[in-house]
Amino acid sequence: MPEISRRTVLKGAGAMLGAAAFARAVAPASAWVANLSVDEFLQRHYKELSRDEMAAVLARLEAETEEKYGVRVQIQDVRPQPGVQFGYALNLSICIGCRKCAEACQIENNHDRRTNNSYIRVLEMQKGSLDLERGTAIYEHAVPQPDKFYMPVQCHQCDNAPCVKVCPVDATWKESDGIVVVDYNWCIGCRYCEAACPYHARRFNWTAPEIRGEEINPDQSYLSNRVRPQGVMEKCTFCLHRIRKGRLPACLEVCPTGARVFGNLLDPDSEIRWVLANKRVFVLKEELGTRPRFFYFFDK
Amino acid sequence: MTWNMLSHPDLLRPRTAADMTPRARRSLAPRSGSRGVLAAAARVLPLLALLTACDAGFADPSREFAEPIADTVPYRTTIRMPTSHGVVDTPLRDVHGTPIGVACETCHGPNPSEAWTATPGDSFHTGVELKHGTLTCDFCHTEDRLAFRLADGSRLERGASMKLCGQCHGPQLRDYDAGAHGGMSGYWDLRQGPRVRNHCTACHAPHSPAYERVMPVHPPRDRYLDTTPAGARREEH
Repeated sequence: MPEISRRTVLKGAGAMLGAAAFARAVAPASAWVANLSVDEFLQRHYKELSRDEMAAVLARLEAETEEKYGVRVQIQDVRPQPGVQFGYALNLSICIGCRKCAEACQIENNHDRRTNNSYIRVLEMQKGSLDLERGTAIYEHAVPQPDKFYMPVQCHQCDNAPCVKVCPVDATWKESDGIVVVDYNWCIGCRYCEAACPYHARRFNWTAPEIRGEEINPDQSYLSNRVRPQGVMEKCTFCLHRIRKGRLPACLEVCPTGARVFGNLLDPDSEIRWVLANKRVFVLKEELGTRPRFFYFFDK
Repeated sequence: MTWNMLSHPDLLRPRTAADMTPRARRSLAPRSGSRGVLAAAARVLPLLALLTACDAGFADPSREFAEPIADTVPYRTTIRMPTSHGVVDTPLRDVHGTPIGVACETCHGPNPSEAWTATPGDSFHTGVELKHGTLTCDFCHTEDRLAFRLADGSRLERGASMKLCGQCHGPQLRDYDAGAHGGMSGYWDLRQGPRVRNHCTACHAPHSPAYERVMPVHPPRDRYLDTTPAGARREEH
């Protein structure tokens, strides 16, 4: 039996260590490949996709949702109607702060159930003041309290949107019907937009949403309520997948007091136009020049 | 210099050539030949290029808008009528404990049923708690109790009660007619689908219309809202 030199042993040990270190170093790459397909990595910006490419993307997303949550969903690319500009108004004299709108938003838009997420935050405000600093979104007593009023805040779809301006990669933009949207597959999750929004209307997916398959709303669209991936921003789109097909937003339908008015700002006979013409209307933080599409009003 | 001074009519009025410096006169003189056109183009082109770069349009312009909707006969808006019209809950319960409802005509019709009329009215209409200002039964109901009575004494058939409510609640009826009061569901765009609207009595019990307080659904667990009223730390989002 040949004598094994000390040098050979050291060489062998060194080689084994090297191989182990290499395997450890490349391990994240295999994990990366497992949860990020090449197609997804190479996917271009929403506006650069042709119809065929968009169809392929939607099919891939549907398959991914089925694999992950075990439900068949339909994800559509719902585009705006020409001649439509959406506006939303909310009657603060009527709102009782029951948070049904926030709940409906969560169900409609496939929000994370663990954090009880929603695009709507209802503030309980002291009567006689519009100071948001004195409002609270956490109240757990019977509503309405006699000395309070209730102010739901969601995305205002600003015409001069700070969140769109700060996005470094053009992952969020304003569409021709006034809705500010996010391409979840283009967003890099830097959260500049969340910091820029004066209404705290944007939400970040710290984790992939936790939601049971049977609770998923299968009527989905690419730019709105499809289940978001981890690490991207999301926001209210006035239920884009509903309103672009003529339906009312989910938060309006569920409102038990009828405090919400929605419609086409370009239609002079619409309900929203009547409110703007006849009610005492204001926008939140008007002094910032964001020019919101969301209006508040009082009856008296 | 303020904007007002800049746009003042005096400043915008054309001057005669004699008022001007030689340089100003040259700048106003008509340009001759292609040199002027080229110079103008050189000035405009970078601006156009910049504008194009800013407007990130669709690579496939046909994706920008949905197919336009054909102008057809619009769908209708219907009103969700009260289901309990003309029925009153009695103190009697069925086997499930549900109050037995009796139609108004049973007692107030042309052939009253003696089984029911034997009971005095006050103990009979126990399902009705009248807490509507200072109103009494006769204010809204006709003497025969089969229809409504308007303030001028005229008769209003059941099913048209919105007009009855609107006598006192005019601003609410005006807002309702404009679509700015009362819940609805369905379509904002009647070209694409129908809409269903609530009746007054869907939200306001006619005999005691004050809104009952409700418990709100659970609040969000949001990182901006870091404490509960009790002071416990909230989960982040």
